[in-house]
Amino acid sequence: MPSFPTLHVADPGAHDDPAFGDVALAQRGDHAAFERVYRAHIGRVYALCLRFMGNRQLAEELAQDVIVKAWEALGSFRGESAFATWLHRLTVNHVMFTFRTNKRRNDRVQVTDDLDPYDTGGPKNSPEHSLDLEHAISRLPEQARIVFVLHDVEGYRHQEIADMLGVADGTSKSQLHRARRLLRSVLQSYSKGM
Amino acid sequence: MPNDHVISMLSEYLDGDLAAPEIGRVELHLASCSECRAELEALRSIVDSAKNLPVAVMPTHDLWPNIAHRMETRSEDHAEVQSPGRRSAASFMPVFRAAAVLAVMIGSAWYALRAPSNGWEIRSIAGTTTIERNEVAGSAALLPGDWLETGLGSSAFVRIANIGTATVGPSSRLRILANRSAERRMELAVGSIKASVWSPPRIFVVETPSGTAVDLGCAYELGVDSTGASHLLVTSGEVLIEYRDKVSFVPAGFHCVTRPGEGPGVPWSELAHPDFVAALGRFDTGTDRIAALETILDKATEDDAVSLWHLLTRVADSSVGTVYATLASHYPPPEGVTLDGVRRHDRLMLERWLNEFTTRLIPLESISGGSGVTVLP
Repeated sequence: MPSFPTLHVADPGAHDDPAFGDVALAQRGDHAAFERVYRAHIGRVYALCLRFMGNRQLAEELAQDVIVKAWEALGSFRGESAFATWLHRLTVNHVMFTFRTNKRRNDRVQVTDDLDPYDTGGPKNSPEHSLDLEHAISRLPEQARIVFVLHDVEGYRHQEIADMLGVADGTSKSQLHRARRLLRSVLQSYSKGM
Repeated sequence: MPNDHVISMLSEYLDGDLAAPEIGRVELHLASCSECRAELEALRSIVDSAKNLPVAVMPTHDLWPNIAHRMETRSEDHAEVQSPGRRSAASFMPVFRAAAVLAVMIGSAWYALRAPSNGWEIRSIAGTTTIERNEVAGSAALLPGDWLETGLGSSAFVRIANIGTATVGPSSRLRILANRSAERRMELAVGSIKASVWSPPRIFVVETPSGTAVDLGCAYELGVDSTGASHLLVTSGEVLIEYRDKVSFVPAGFHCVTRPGEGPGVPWSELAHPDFVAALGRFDTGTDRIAALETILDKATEDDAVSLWHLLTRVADSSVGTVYATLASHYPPPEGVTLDGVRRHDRLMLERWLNEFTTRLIPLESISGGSGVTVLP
């Protein structure tokens, strides 16, 4: 029987948000509080950007855009969800907007041999394997990478992904299949020391 | 026969997205096929690993100074529409502004020190590297026209102005042909480079004896042997290889070989079947092309769509329909793309079809527009 993976959207709001008080202060214009919010959340925002972009330099640029956008949109956060969840959605929406409008196309950077971006803090499970997978994800073709990150890492459904990318449901499925097979090939080459 | 396998259905099977009859077919096949079982387990392992990736990854440097500067700029731009709450933050501004200005000054100074100039900086990594036969000790500038050479077992790092970096492999010989902001062009006569480029498309160009690699924003590895033949592997983004009126489009995950006097062959995927790759080689070199094409079409899978797409304009007229049908079986042509149009080498039709299975989210013409170079073979 096939396994039916459970929906895997991380819900950072499931736990108490230590930055909640700072969010409220930041909404009243407190820059120092917003800097604390930034420091509490930048790891999650950057991880998302890095996986979507597959490249450190673009990810840093995009993460900055997201944080500035969050500052500007802070008034629209009404506490109906955890701030981390709100920021997660804002990040995904901004990344999708970026791809759709392709405004960064001419600025894109693709560095595939630089493991530095992943050699940083944050919780890790089986670090070596995570690094290999992170690196392999960064080598995926653009659309396959986005679909893989949205589906297998972030837990979105194909229909949601198709809506976000403006493609057919079947395209999302075929890109996911392609991404997984490419990842298998790349990871195999790593294990053989190629 | 690959078509007997159920590999193309395994991803959806794993996700529980197949209908009951298809599940039955897959499970029946899995019971007797160790190859497909191994593929399923490998895919399952990837899916499980993806769920366990770290939730947070920290950037390698603090992004806050830039963010703070941008916030302040926005605040000043929109001062007249700020909310009362925002306005109350004005008391923070002097300190904040001073900190931001200082951060920008420090950042600018750091960038000025770190940012490469317009020049190409060379650093020997291992063994012996020479510029015009003078050994490079530490780092050195490479000037247009001067030959850079690496010895046997040697390698060098190249900072390509402010647009990218490259590692030069052993026994390589290269020089700069043009170094303007609109064109960074080099010649790789022999040897290998591994390049990562972040300039806009078409700025970084590498000439080899059998073809010219035009960067479209990417990372790739390129080797040239003593006969002038080259082998390209694109690891991110896309590259065009041009030779006279022949052009191959090579996206990430694809290889392409160029041969002296013939230019670029048909690119192939890293996932392609070895028989498929061998047949492409025979097709490119004109060795029993009919038999080679039969093997190509027999072994082609959805991963080979880019290869099939190139063949549409490289096979004899009598074979276009067969290649068209094979490609269509994996990726149906989008509305408006017809066999007649493909036979006419209609550029827009071909590009629209290519967009169905490549990863670009924008029309190809926006990349190639204005350059006068078409991506079509």
